[in-house]
Amino acid sequence: MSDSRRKFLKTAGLGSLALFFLSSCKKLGLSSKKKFKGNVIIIGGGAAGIYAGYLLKELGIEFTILEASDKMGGRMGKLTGFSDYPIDLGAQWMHGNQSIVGEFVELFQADVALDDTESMYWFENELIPTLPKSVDIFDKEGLPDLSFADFAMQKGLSPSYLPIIESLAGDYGADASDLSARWVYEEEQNWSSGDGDYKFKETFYDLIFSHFGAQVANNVTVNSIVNTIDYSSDKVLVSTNSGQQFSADKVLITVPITILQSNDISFVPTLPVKKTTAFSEIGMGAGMKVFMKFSTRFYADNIIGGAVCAAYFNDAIGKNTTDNVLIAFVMGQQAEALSAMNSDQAIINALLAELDAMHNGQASATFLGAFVQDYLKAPFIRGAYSYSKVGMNKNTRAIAAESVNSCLFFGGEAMNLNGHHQTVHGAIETAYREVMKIMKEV
Amino acid sequence: MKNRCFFVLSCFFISAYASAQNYRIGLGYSFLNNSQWNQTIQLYNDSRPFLEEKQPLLQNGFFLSFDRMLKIENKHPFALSLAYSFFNSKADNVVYVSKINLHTLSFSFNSTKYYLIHKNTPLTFSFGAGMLSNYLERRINPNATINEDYPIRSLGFGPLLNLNFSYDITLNKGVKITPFVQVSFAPYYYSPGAEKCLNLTQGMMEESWNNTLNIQAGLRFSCIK
Repeated sequence: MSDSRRKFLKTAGLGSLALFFLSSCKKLGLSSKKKFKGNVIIIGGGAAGIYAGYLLKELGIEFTILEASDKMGGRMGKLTGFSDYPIDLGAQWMHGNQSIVGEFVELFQADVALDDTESMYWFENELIPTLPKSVDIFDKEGLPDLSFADFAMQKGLSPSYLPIIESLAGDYGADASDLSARWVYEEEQNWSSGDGDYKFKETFYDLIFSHFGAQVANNVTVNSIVNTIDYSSDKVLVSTNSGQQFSADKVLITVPITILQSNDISFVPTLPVKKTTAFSEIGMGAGMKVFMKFSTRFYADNIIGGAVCAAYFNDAIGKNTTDNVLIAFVMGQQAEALSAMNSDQAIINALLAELDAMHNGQASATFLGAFVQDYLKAPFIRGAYSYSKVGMNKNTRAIAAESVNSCLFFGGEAMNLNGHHQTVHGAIETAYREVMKIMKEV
Repeated sequence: MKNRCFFVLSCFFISAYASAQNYRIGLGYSFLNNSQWNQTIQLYNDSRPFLEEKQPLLQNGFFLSFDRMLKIENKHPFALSLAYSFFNSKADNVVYVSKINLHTLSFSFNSTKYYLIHKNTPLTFSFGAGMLSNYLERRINPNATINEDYPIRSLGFGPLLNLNFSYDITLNKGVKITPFVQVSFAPYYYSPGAEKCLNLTQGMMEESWNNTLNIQAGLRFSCIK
C-alpha cells in the first residue's frame, strides 16, 4: 500500500471516528443550557400552573404560585365521603392516551379503564337505543361558521333533535347555540392524542396533584386574589386584594379565560386591544356536575337528550364500587338555568323530575343523596372550559396566547394552540410551552 | 427486526454476487441531522423531567445501499442507487419504555466517478439527485396499561441531493473495496406527522417542512471481471 493511500485511510478513519464521537456527545446534550436567571410568578394553581411550577423547580428557577382560592386544583377537584370511592369533581376523563398525561399514567402506574359505554337517547319522550336520524354531521371539512344548533337545523334535523345536539355541544363545554361547527372542526384537525376516553380507578386529580402538586406545594400561596399586574417597568409587580405585592422578572398567567375576559385583573399598561379582543372571542360557558346516588341502578350508562340536563353518565364506570352514582353533566344554557335556581335542592329536584319522567319515577324512589358542583359559581373559575365560539377566527387562540413585552406569558387550556384545549394534557402542554419560552428569554 | 435486517442483507449480497460487475453494495454508519426533529425531541425531554432516561436524538444509525451501474451508449455512465437507513432512539425507563424507530429509503441517480486529482487516481467524487422517504414510528412497552393506540406512525418524503467522495482499493481476485463518505441533503422535506411521534403533539412546533442532512461513511463492495 502506498504512503498516500495509507495516509488517506488513516485520515478517513479518524474522520469517521470523530463524526461518530461528536454525534454521540450530542445525544444527551439537549437544550438544558439555562439562559434565564430571574424569578417567575405563576398566577393560577390549576394543572397548568402546577406543572409550570414543577418544571421551573426542576430547572432551578425561583418561582411563586399565587392561587386565588384556598387550595390547588383549579378545575380539578376531589370529593371523598359521598360514595365508597373518591370522585373527580372536575376533569375526570383522560381523552386519548397519546399525550403527556398518558405517560403519567404509565409512569405512576395509575389504574385506568376505557369508557366506551353505549348510550340511550331520550327522544320525543321515549328512551331509545338509536336515533331515527344520524347526528354525525359535524365532522366534515368546509362547515360554515354557524352554531351547532343552527347547522343542525340547516341540515334538516327537527327541533326534537336539539337536546341531542345540546349534549354534543355539552361535550365541548358549550351551548349548542354558541358553539361553532366550523371552528370545532378546524381546531380538532390538530388533535393528536388518540381516540379513547379513560377513567381513573382512583382520581384524575390524584394523578396530577399527588405527584406534581406535592412537589411545588411549598411555593404555592393560596387565597391570593391577584387584582393588578403592573408590567410598566423592568420588574413586574403583582398585587393582590389583601394588599400583598410580589415582584418578578416574568409572570405566567394560567387563570381561566373567563377571568381574563371579565377584567378581574387590571394590567398596567393595559393589554393590547388585539389581545383583549382575542380573549373575548374564546367561549367559556356555564358548567355543572351533579352527583346523584341511588339505592338501585335503574339507568343506562349514558342517557342523552334531556331538556334539563342533556347528558347523564354512570359514574361507576372504571371504579371499584358498589354504589350507584349518576352524574348530571350540565353545560351551557342548561347549566345557567339550573345555576340561576340558587338552591342545590331545587337543582336536584329538577334533575330528579327529569329522571323520573324517563324511568317511571324510579329516580325519586331510590334517591339517596346528591352533591352539586357548580363551576359557574366558583368565583375564580366561572365556567366549564373554553370552546370554539361562533365568530372566532383561526388566530384567536394564538393571539390570546402571545406573550406581552417578553414578561407576561399566558397558559392554561384555553391557550392551547394544538387542538388540545379543554383537556388537562392541553393545559399541561401550554405550561411547558410557556416555561420553554421563559427559559429562552435573556 | 433482526430477521428483517438479515433478509435485506442477504438479498443485497445474493444480487451483487449474481452480476457483480454491474452492481455494488454498500454498508456503514449513517448520521442524521434534522434540526426540527431534534428540537422536538429536545422539547419532549425538557418538558418531562420525570423521565430519568431521556429520549436520545435520532442521529446515529446504519445504512445499506444497492447500486446498479448503467451506461447508455456514448453517454456518461451513471448509477441507480437504492439505500435504506435505520435509526432508533430508546428511552428505557423502569416502567415506561419509549422507542422511536426511523426507517428511511432513498432512490437516486448518481453520476459515476469524477476524478478528484487527475485521471486514474483512486480518489473520486460523484453527485446525484433523487427522492428520500421515511417511516417514523413510536412504540411503548407492550405491557403498558394503555397501549391500544400505539404505535404512532408517520410518513415523510422530499427531494434528495447527494455528494459522494470515495477511494477505490482494488484487492486480489478482482474485488474492489471502496471506502466512501456521502453527504445527502433533503431540502423542503415534508414530514407532517413527525411531531406527533416525537412529542405527542401536532402544531406546537413550527413547520411540517424542514431540511434533512445525512452523512454516511462506509464501504462499498463490487467485483471487477
